[in-house]
Amino acid sequence: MPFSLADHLRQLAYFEGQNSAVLERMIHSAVSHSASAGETLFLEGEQAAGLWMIQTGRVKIYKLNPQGQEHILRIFGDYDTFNDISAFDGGANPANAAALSDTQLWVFPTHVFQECIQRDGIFALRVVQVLSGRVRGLIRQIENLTLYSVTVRVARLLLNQVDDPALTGTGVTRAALAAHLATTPQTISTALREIELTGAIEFDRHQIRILREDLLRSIAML
Amino acid sequence: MGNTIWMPQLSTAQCSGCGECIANCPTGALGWIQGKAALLYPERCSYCATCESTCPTGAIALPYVVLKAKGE
Repeated sequence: MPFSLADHLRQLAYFEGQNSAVLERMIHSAVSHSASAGETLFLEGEQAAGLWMIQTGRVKIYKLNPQGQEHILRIFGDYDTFNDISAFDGGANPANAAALSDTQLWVFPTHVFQECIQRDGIFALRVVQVLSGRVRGLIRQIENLTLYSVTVRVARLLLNQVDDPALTGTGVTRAALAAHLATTPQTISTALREIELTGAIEFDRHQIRILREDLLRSIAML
Repeated sequence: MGNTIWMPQLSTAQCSGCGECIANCPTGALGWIQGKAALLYPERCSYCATCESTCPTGAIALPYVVLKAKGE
């Protein structure tokens, strides 16, 4: 089936139930962008191009410390948007972004988004709701990193991944998860083995199967 | 995704040639090609992720999926 940007946009939280004027404005302003696995999309501190949307692929949003150590803030997949904050305040990129796999994206210029917010109150409300969701996600992330062990964090991530296939697949590796959960790939492997020993999951080559979700939720302290 | 993608993916650009993955691979699936690690015997690979965990430069990637078992 040929790709339709309009159909794609209608599935985003921003445009759910949105009138066609806003959608058409966004579609006409959209710029297509392709990236190969490993390619940097933008750097922290640079002037933001706008809001990015993934058609297909995986993207990591990350920070680097002075020693070059990477911390992945978020991993995004098909239909996700990112760099929302810069698109709305017109400021610089708050973090770096790079493709984890070959990725097809769209960029919506900052000025177009701001124009739509000013013109359409319902759209503006959607924006507030989406940004609220992002803030809640960041609070959960701080909670996970500061209050729970790596095993609990890995168990929580597995539960997220089974609900959101965009968080697995090409480019999403133990190394990427380690950079997301503020640990090392070796510790991720150890935590996965610990969880496997409980009988909550099993490995079958590239598949991690959840055998007992209740047990995994218990390990995740949920 | 087809089955062929579910093999360790080695980046020759990132590989430093330290040989840690080759030394630690429990099935002997990895070897050398022109001073870099390579998957010489894919049929031996058990997808255990030891190579990915031990690689100091992040040159090896083993993507995976998470699924619910039937009945869960």
